[in-house]
Amino acid sequence: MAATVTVQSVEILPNGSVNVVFESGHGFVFGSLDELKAAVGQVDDRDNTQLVAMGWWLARQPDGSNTALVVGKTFTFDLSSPQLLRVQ
Amino acid sequence: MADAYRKRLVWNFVPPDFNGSIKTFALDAATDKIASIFQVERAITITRLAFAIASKSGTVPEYKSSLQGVDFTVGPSIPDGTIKGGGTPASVLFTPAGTYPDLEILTLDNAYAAAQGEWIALPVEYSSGTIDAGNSITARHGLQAAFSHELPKVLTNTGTWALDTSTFPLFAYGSADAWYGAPIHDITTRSEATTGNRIAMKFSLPVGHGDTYKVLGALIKGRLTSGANATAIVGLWNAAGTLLQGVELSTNAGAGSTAQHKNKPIIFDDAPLATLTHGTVYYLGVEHDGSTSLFTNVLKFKDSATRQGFVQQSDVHLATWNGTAWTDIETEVWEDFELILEDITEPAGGGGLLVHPGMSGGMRG
Repeated sequence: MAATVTVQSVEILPNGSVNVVFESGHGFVFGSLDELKAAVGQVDDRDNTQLVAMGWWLARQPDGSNTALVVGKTFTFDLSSPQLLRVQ
Repeated sequence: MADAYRKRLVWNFVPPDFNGSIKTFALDAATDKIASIFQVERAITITRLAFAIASKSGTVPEYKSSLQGVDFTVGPSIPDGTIKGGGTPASVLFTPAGTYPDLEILTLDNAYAAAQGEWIALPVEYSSGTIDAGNSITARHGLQAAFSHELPKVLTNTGTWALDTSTFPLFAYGSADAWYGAPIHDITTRSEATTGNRIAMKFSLPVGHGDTYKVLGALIKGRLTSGANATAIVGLWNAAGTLLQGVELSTNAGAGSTAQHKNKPIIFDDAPLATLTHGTVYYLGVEHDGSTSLFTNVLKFKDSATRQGFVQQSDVHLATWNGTAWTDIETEVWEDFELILEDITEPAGGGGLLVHPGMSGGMRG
């Protein structure tokens, strides 16, 4: 489930658009920095953190067994933290 | 006689889970490709293709595009390499030479008569010349959605075809006067900071499809500068700029979110609602009422003809009001424009799309 990206360039255009390119050749453009922030803000929404928790479990137990790995655990996904994902 | 018939009229220009961004892909190697796989909406003689280009660099090499069949046996379903048209191939070689970002419109060397529902792959790939990061183009190949879109598909290729998940394709095909797909090349923000000024969608319902109707509500995509108690007016105006009905949009009700692509369904609370007429132009939008600035996303078309070919209605597009008059902006539209209509009546003399529920047998106009 691992994915890697290397940022090639980030450009804020005169009209306020934000153009991001990755070394793979893929990229995206948002109409404004606020729009990019809003999209990023969805990453650490509760709904997405729920999926991250499930992904963490399934990466370790692809057959869906050993639910004890995650039951009772608290997952904190925080982009602003040096510890991106905390499992307690 | 008024009918309580209610329906939603939707002009969907982007997927409902669009996150506000356009995806890009650098076609800077001989093996790089992009493609869309889709079903033809209706029988059409395809004469033109289009895709969006973000930028070009150096001496641009020659690329090629075509209409091909689809190989469903190879995941994730890919172009089958066979160009439609046989001895009169539906393909084109081209060297982008415009100013970008822009929509690149290509005329096929040979038109292709596509059947309704036919599966087609539309690839864009390298043809000849020096190609590298300094001599190439970058395509704007899709709209970023929140969920994976199975169809239509967008594929990228750096040696092997791969599905670009959560992406709605920015490709288009068309005849001389109609476009299908998404002939869109840019998204930008419109903002308004002057009291009394407006950002709106101009629209009308076609004559002959009905007589009168009312607008109960609408889908607004826009935001007010964050802060409590900030408001704007969501309104319906006529061509003279007179307010026909309106309701307050408030940050207290969630309109102050940081993103202007998020949906805000609005219901008008006017009683009675204004009676509107088919064939007459109206404007539905947001007015700055002095408390804060407002922002909306807009999609950009290459020109009015491209927008009309896609929207299939000449007077559906963005407009602004400066306090005195409307200014039509025929190359822009909101991401989505949705009206909740009610009390739709039949055209005078009968006919149109509706049959009065009280009739049985008799004549239909």
